[in-house]
Amino acid sequence: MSKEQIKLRSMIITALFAAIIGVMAQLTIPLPLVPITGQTLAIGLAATILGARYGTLSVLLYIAIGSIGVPVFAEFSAGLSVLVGPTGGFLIGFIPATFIIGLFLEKLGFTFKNAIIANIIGMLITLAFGTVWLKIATDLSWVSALASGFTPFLVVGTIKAILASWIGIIVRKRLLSAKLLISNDIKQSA
Amino acid sequence: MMEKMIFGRYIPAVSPMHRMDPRSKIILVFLFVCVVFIANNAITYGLLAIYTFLMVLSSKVPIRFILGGLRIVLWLVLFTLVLHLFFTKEGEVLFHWGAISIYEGGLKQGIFISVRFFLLILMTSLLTLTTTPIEITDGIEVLLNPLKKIKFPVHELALMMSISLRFIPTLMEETDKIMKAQTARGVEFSGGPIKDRVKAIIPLLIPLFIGSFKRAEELATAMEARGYRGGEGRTKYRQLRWSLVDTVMLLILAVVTAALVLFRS
Repeated sequence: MSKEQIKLRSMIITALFAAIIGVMAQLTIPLPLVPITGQTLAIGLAATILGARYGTLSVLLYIAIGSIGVPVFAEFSAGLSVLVGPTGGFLIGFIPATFIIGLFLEKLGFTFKNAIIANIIGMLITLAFGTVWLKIATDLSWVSALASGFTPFLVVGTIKAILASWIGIIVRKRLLSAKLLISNDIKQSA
Repeated sequence: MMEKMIFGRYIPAVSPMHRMDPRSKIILVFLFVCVVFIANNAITYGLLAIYTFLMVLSSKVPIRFILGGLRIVLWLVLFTLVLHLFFTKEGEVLFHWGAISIYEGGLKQGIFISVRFFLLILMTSLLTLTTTPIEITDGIEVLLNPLKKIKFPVHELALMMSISLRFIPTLMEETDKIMKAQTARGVEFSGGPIKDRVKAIIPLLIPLFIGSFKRAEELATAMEARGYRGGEGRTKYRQLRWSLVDTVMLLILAVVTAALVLFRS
């Protein structure tokens, strides 16, 4: 394949992945006490499957689509208002989180153990962005911002991170064995 | 639901807001988000509230859609208000009862920040309520055009956004189909032990991903067969037109901004 052909294919896959994040954000795995939403899972998957560059790009696209009014954010919400709203920081935090998860896995290898470490780091980045934004947007004190935006999500976040790593590594393996994952081959050839 | 996924939150109507060019609407909302922070006293906040209220009225979007957008943030706004009431200790004491005392500064600060939230959310929802996602994408592409000079991939981003928009309804339908197909094969998505329910995601995700990756390959081939060679020299099917209403709307905001600067303390 020529360079242009590979570029077009990775662009389309990135775009489709953004759509997949939007669809998965509406799915919930009904667990007692903590229902797992597909959004964080999909973000982890984007990083684990596409790697740093295209993973981050697809998350960026997902946020762009949501902000122009397509109901792809959790619970079918949408609009720039969600992004500038008090919880917008969590969405923004997905961007650096995906990049770091992808970079971590690219450098250290796509194994289950690495994926768990990377996804937990990613979760902490997301929560940190969300909390700082919450503090600025609502003018709260640091203590109350942390209490409402950081600590309550730590346990649930860790469970989600482990799930994202587990599923991500499995899906990645299957895609590679079906020779469908060309986006990672690009990085090696380009 | 499918329609909502295609048109976003767009509500068709005949109004000046609807007639505006997506470019000028994006500029207007972006400027408004900056201008809101100029307000710092009762007069300026009142002025902004009147302007926003008139904009909402003139958009002819039924009030229930606008209230629907506000509902999501209502509790957060109330939460902020209450926090400011109890924890900002500035100015005179207005109210004292046991360990609770409410200060003048706290009340003011709380109300102002809540109003600012509401206005920001109203105006940004107005953009998405009066413009279709694809129009906004076109508008963004043209507005970001100058960035091409510094090699920012404007065309590529707009193309990817359009592709995503196009495929969200398709992928939703596909997810539904896969779920039904796997249920027919005995996979339980909403019952059984927790371990099985988590495991049930795999037979859902693998076909979804493989299907999407195959679709990407097909779409790429189709585009190449039709002569797609990147954004250079590509013409547009949907043309954007700047009209009088766009200029007038931006001028009104300019007047409001001038008044805000004049009356701020």
